[in-house]
Parts: sequence; C-alpha cells; structure tokens
Amino acid sequence: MRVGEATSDRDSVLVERCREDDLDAFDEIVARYKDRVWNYVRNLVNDAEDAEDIAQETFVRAYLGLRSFQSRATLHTWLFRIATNLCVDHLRRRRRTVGPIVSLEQVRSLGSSSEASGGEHGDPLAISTEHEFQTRLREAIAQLPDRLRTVLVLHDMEDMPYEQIAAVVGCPLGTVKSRLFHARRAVRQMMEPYLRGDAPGPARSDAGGGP
Amino acid sequence: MRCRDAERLISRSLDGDITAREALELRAHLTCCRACSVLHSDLTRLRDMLRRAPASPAPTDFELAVRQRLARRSTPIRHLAGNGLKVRLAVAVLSVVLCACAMGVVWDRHRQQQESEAELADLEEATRAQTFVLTAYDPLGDVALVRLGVQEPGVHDE
Repeated sequence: MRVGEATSDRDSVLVERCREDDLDAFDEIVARYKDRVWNYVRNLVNDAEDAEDIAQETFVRAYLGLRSFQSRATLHTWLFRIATNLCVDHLRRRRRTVGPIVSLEQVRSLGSSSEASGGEHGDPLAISTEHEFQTRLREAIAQLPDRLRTVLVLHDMEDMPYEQIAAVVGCPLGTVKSRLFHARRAVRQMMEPYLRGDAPGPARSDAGGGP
Repeated sequence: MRCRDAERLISRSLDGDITAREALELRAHLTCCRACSVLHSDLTRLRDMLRRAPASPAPTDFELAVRQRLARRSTPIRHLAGNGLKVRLAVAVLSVVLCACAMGVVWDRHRQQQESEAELADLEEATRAQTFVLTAYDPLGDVALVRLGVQEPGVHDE
C-alpha cells in the first residue's frame, strides 16, 4: 500500500493527542505503523534481535520528539526517517566492531567471483523455487552499502515514491534515482548466477557491452 | 543511444519515470542490443521479486515492549509537565527563591572580603610604625649613643 504524501487526518489527530501526553493515542500510532516499521528495519538489519530493538526505539524516539515534529512531513515519513537514522548508526557501530564497510567494488567482485566459481551457495540450477531465490536476493541486498540498500528497500520493498525517499534519506531527488540504479545493478551482478540458472539463453559476457 | 545511458533509462522505466520520447529511444535500443535487453529483463524480474518479498508481522507484545521502554525513558519532569499551570508556577517560585539565596551568599562573601582587606591594611600600618632600629653603640664611651627612629622595612642605616 502506497502511503499518501499528506498526513492523514487520523494521524494528525493522534499526533496532537500524543503532544498532550495521551498514551492511548501513542498506542494507536504504534499499532498502525508497527508492521511497516518492523519490516523496513528487518530488511536493513539482518539480526532479528537488533531489528526489534531498533523498531521499538523508533517509536520511543518519535514519542519523545513529537513536540518538534512538523506537520509538513507525514508521520509515515518521519517514523521511517527516525528508523533509517537508527539503522545506519547501528550498522556503523557494528561495522566498527565487526569489520570494514563493504564497498560497491567489493560487492561487484563478490558477484563476479561467485559467478566464476559456479556459485558459492550451491549449484545455481538447483535454486529454482521462489523461496530460495528470495533468500539469495536478501543475502545480496545485505551486501550492499548502507546508502544503496536503504534506497532500494524503501523503493522496491516499501513501495515508497522518489520524493518521499528523498525526505526520509535527506538527499536530492536525483541522488535517489542514481542510488536506486546503482543498487539494482549491484544486486543484479550478485544474482547473475541465479538469474542465468533458469533464464533462457546463455549468460552474456559483458554487462556493459553492446553497440 | 549508448548502453550507459540506456542502463539508467532502464532503471527509471521500471518506476514509470520516463518520457514518451525516452521510451521510444529505449525500445529502439533494446531491439538491437542484447546486453541491455538482458539487463532490462533481469532488473524487471528482480524488482518483481522484491515486491513479492513476504512481509512478516511485528513480534508479539511489540506495543507492550514499546510502552515499557518509554516508561523507562520518561523523566519525572515530563510527567509533571502534564499537570499544567500549578506545576509551572511552583517551578517559577522555586527558581526565584534559589536565585535570591544565591545572591545573598554572594553579597555576604563580598562584604567579608572587604572587611578582611581593611583589617590587613590597618595591620600593615601598625607594623610600619613599630619598626625601631638600634643604629650605633660606643663601647668605650660613657654615654651610649642610641638613635631610635622609624624606618621603612628593608632599609638599614650605615
């Protein structure tokens, strides 16, 4: 479901009640948005426990900051912006303690090496079901740099329009389109062995080739 | 059209963000470029798969967990703020009283410092007046020549 750009009347009422410390209104906001926020965070953060922690924190931060919330943005956009910032902070902290940032070049080389070796996750021809394909797809998305993954998840999984993504991420519209293109191309490169596994015709040798 | 331009157009075409003219140019390019044609079908398939990705509901008791977390984070001041004018008035009165006390303490210290400085000045004056120096003595004479006088500290007569 694509959420409208204007704050819904119900959201406006709930926000006003929350500003007067009405916790029942806050409960209703959580009930309305918890699944969307949860799924979004879950798609950005691989660990379920971390994702739950971040999703809960998103609503707490939203409540504590409601007095500064400006009705120009939708509640949906605002919640996703808080969630995005929390996810990015979490991933940065985790990267400092666990390992370095995965660059786009590394992502590309990962796809190439996987293709050259016939696939690190098993025989591509054997991966035929949609469930398996989805699993591989999620793994590929998890390898993307944060800025690309965020835009791809918001657009292709959360069905969010360019303008709203720009508001959530805090970047120009053109940057959103550019990041979306790079994210799709990187995922496609990583998924190429699985795409070719059941695709008609031989794999092409050069993705950038042509007349 | 070059492949580099076509690739970006392919991505935008998936979102319907393409003009009629661009669509015609892209279609013409795809009919003669197998690489871009494959890219188009791949990106379309991946986009469709992402849209079909199963969504899972939030964990059970999510609302309860959020409320508990909020209760831990809410400060007493925030709860008090909901009681309105009385609380704000009490806070204002308390602030004025605290300010008055602080100013009293500062004034008292200032007065004590002034008194201490005055006492110190008097003491220095008295010390200067009581400095008597024995300047000469003749052991063979019948009369001891003694000069008594007031001298600045640190200065000795020959």
